[in-house]
Amino acid sequence: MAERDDDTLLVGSELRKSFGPTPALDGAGLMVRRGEIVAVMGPSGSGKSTLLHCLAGIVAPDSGTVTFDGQDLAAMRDRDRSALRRGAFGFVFQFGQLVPELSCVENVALPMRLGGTRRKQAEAKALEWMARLEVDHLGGKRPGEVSGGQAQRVAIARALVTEPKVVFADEPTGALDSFNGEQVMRLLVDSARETGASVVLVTHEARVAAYSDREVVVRDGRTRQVELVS
Amino acid sequence: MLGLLETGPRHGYDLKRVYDERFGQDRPLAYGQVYSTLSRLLRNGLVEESGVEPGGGPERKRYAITDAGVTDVSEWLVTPESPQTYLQSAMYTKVVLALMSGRDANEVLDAQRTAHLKSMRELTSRKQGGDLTDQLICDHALFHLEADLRWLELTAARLSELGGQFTG
Amino acid sequence: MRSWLNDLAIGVRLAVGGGRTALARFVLSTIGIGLAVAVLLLASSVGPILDARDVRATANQPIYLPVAGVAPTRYMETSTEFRSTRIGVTYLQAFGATSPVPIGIPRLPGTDEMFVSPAMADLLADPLLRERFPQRIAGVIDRAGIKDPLKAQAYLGADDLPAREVGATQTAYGFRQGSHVAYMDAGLLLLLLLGTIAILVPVFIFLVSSTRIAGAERDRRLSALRLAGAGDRQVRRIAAAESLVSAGAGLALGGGLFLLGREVAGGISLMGSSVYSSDIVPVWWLAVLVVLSAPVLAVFAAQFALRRTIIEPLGVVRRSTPVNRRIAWRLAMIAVGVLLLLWRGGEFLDNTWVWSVLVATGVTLLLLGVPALLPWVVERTVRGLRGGSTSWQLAVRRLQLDSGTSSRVVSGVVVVLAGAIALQAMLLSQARIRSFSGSTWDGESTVLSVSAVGQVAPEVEKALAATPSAHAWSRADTVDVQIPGLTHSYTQVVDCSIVAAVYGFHGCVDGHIYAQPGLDITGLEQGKEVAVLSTDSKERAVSRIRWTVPVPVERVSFAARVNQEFPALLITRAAMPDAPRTRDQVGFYALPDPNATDATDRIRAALGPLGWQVSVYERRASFLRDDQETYLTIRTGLLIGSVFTLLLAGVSLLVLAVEHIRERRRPLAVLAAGGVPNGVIARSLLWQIALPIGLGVVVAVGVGVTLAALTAQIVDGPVILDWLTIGVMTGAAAALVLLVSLLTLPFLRSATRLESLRTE
Repeated sequence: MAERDDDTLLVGSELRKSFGPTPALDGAGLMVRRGEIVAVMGPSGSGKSTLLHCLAGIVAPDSGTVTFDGQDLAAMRDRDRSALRRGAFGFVFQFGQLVPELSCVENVALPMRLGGTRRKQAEAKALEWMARLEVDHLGGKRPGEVSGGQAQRVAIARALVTEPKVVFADEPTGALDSFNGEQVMRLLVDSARETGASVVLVTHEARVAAYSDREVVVRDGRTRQVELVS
Repeated sequence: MLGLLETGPRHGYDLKRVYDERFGQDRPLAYGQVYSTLSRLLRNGLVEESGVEPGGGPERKRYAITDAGVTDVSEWLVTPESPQTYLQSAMYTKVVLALMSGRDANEVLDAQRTAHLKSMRELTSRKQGGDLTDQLICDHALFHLEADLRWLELTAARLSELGGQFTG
Repeated sequence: MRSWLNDLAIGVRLAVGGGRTALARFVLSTIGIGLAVAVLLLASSVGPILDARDVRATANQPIYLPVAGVAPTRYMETSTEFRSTRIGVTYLQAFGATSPVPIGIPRLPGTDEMFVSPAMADLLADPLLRERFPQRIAGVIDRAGIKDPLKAQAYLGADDLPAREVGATQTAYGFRQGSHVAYMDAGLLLLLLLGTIAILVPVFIFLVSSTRIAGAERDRRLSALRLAGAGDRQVRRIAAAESLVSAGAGLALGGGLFLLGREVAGGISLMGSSVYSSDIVPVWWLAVLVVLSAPVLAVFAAQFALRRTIIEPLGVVRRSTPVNRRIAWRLAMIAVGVLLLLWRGGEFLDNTWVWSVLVATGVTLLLLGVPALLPWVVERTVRGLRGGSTSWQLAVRRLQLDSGTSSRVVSGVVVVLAGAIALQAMLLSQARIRSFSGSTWDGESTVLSVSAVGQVAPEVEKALAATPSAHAWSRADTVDVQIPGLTHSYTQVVDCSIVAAVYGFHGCVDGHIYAQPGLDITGLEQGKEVAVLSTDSKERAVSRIRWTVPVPVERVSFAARVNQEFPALLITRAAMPDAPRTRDQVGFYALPDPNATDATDRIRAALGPLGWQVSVYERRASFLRDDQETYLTIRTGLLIGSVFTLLLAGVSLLVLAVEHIRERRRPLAVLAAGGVPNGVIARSLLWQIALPIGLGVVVAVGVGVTLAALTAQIVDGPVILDWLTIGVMTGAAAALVLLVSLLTLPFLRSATRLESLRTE
C-alpha cells in the first residue's frame, strides 16, 4: 500500500471477490487522493472493472474493506450507500448508464431528483452542466436519439452535476472513435479538475490513461502500485 | 519547405520560424540549412526571388513558389509514404534482450509502461495547452507510443502463454 | 413524504412519455388492465342484475286469501309466439271496482282493451299479430311489471275466465311485491361457483401479467436508476408508481368500457333474457374491491417480479443464473385445493355460506395451480431436450434460458382451458341429473300443438278447416288404455294425416294400431276388450268407454318422440272412432303449410278470436322445470362469460406475444443479421409458444379432469367426460395460441429489420 496522508479520499484494501468459481479480485487495493486522477489499467478480464465496482460500493466484496472519507462502505446501509452514489459519486460507463425513457436533461437531473430536489431546480442545474459540456441543445432528446459521443457527454454531465468527490469512469471512451474519445476525455478531466473531483478511470488504452496523474495496473485480480515518478 | 511557400511568398527567416512552429519542436532548423535548401530549389526552378523587402538589418529576400514548384508539391503530397517498419528499433532490441536474459516479461512491460506513460502524460498536457499544430504533433507521438505499449502488452501476453521460449 | 412523492413522480415520468416503445408498453398494459377491470365490474354487477330481475319477476305475487271488502281479480297466464318471439299473455277479469290491479298497469283492462310492454307494442305494428290481438291498446306496462325489458307482454281484459278448478286460472285478492327466496340446490350452486371462478381466475391472471409486461426492460431501467443513486426501497417505490400509472389508466379505460357496455347491453337480448342498463350497477363493495384490486395487484405484481432481482446498479449484467423453480409450494397449492374440495367442512356445512367459500377456495386454488405448475413443468421438460432442427434448437435453448416468459404467455389460455373442461363436465352431469337433453321435439317439420277448452272444440275445428295455412290437422285425444303394461305410456288417438310429421313414421294406415318396441302390450291382443278413459288436468277420469281391440298391434319405431319420458302407443282414428275425451281440454295437431309464408302465425291468427280458450304451441321447446330453467340461465351466463374470458385470453396472448418479440428485438435482429432466415426465426418463436402450450394442455386436462371428478363427487353426480368436446376445446386453445403467434409475425419482420441493431 502507498502511504496515507490527509489527502486520502478513497481506500480499498485486500479486496477479494469471486463470481462463481472464478476469482475476479484476489487481494487488490487502491488509494485515491483528493482531486487525483488515477488510471486503472490491465488486460481484459484482469478484474479492473470489478475493482471499480467494489470501490464505488456497487458490488460488495467478499472480503476486504473500502473506506471513503473515513467511512467503511461495507458497514453502511444500502440507503446510505445509495445516497453516497447520488451525491458523492458520479459514474461514466462505456454505455447504458442513461435511462432510455428519460430525456437527456431529465437524465442529468436524475441524481438530484432522486435526492429530493425539485424538478425545476434540478433541471436548471442540469442544463448548466450540459452547457459546460456543450450538449445543452440536446436537452429534450432521449439518449437513443443522440450520437455516442453526445451520450457520453450527457453521462459526464450527469456524473458531475452533483459535484461529486469521486467520478468512476469505466472505459468511458470504449465505444467511441479516437476523435470523440479525445473530446470526451478532455471534457471529463477538465470538469473534474475544475470541481476538484477525483477520478478513478478504468481503461486499457494508454492514450486514455495518459490523462491521469498516475496509473495502477491490475493483473489476475491483484494490483501493482506504480510509484509516482515526479 | 515548398509546401510552406505555397501559402504565399516568404523570406528566409520567416520560413524558418513557421517551420519551427509547425514541425520543429524537437529539431529547429538551422539558418544555413534554410538557405542551402532555398538555393537548391532556386537552381531547380521550383522557387524564384519575388523581391527584396527593405528594412532594418540584413537584406531580406522574398521567395515565391513557381508553377513547377506547385506541381512538385502536389506530387509529393499525393505520393503515400511507404509505411515505416521499426523492426530494428532500440526498444525492440532491448526488450528481446531483457527477455532472453530471463527477466519477467511483465516487469519489463511495467517498467516500459511507466516510462511511456510519463512521456505520454507530458505530451497530453502539452496538447491540452497547445494550438492545432501542437495537438497534431502530440497525437502523432502519442499514437506511436501507445502502439509500442500495445506491442509490449501483446508480447507479454504471448510470453506468459508460451512460457520462456527465449530462455529455452 | 416529499421524497416519496418525488420518487412516485419519477415513476410516473418513466411510465408515460418515454418514447415510442415506452408508450407501446403503456398502451398494452392499459388495454390489458382495462379489459380485465371491465369484465370484473360486469361480473360484480351480475348480482344486482339478477336481483332486479327477480324483484320484477316476483312483482305480482298474488294474495289468494280473501280480503274483506275486496272483489277478487281472476287471471290466467299463458304465452304465445309470434315469428318465434315469445309473448307473455295475461288475461285479467275484474269482479268489481275494488278488484286488485297487478303492478305495472294503472287499472284493469276492459274486455276490449289491453296493456302492452314496449316490445309488444313494437311487435303489434305487424298487422298479422294485430289480427290476433285486435284489442285497443290502453297503455304501456310500466317497467316494474316486466322482468326482461325486451320481453313482449300483454295484459288483456276478459269477462269469461273459468273458475279456478278449470284450466290455469287463479283468483287474487291483491298483488304485492313477493319476497324472493334465493334457493339453489347444491349442484346448481356448485356450477355457478365453478363457472364464476373459471371465468374470473384467468381475468386476474391476465391482470397480473399485464402489469408484468416488459420485465427485462424494466430491470435494466431500474438498475440504471440504482446506478444514479436510487436506494433499493426507492427503486421499489419508483417501480410501484410506474405500474400504478398503467393500473390507473387501465381503471379509467375499464370504467369507460363498462359504461359503454352497459349502454349497449340495454339494447340486446341474449337467449330471451335482457336487462335494463340502469340495472347494471356493481355491488358497491365489489366495485370498490375491483377499483382497489387493480392498483393493488399491479403494485403487488411489480414487487413480486422484483423479488428475485435484487436490483443492483449493474442490474442484469452480473446476475447469476436463477435458482431452480421449486415444486413444493406449487404442489401444496393444488393439494390444499383438492383437500378443501374433499372435505368441505364436513356434513354439517352442506350448502351453507361457509360451504360455498370453502368450495370456491378449493376450486380457485386448484385452478391457480395451473399457472403455478406450468413454469415448473416447462422448465423441467426443456432441460433435457437437445438436438433437432435449427429452429427447434433455438427455441429449446431459449426456453432453457428463460421459460418463465413463455409460460406466462400461455398460462391465461391454459387456465381457461382447465376451467372449461371442468365446467363442461359439470354442465353435462347436471344436464344428466336434470334429465335434460336440449330440445324434446325432433320431428321432421313444424307441428303446432293446439290445446283448447272443451266447449270451443267445434270452433277450433271450424277455424282449422277454414284456414288455408293449415295443410293438415287432426284432433289428438290422449287416452288411458287400462292394461298394466301401459301405465307409464303415452297413448294418442289421431288421424293418419299428421302421423308422419308428429311421429316421424311414414306409412300410417287408418284403422291400424302402432306401438313402440319395448312397450308391454300384453292384454292388447286382437279382440280383447279393455277400458279406455280420459282424464282431465286434475287426473280425474271424466269419460270412459269399453273398447275391443280391432286389429293386431304393429310394432313400429317412431323416428320422432312425441313425449320424452314415455314410450308411445298410437291408435289411428278409425281404430277407435269414439275415443273418450275430457270437457276441459281438447288437443289438436295442425301442420302449417310449408309453402305458405307465415303459415304458423296465420293459424295462430285464425285461432286468435277464441282468446284464452285456445293456446297454441309450436312443438319445439318443452316445458321446463324451475331448476331446469335456472340451469339454462346459468349455462347461458357461463357461455357469455366464457366468450368474454376467451376473448380476453386471446387479447392477452397477443399482447404478451408482441411484447415478447419487442423485448427480444435485438437478439432477433442479430440472428437475422447473422443470416438466419426469417422462416427459421419464426418457426423457433412458434416452437417457443407451442412447447409451453403443449405442456400447458396436458396440465390443463389433468387439472380440469381432477376438478370435474372432485365437483362430481360433491353432488354425487356422475363424472361425464366428453372427450370429443375436450379434444375440440384443447384443439381450439392450441389453435388460438398458434393463430396469435402467426399474428405476431409481422411484428417479427419489423423486429428483424437491421435497424433494430442500433442500440440506445
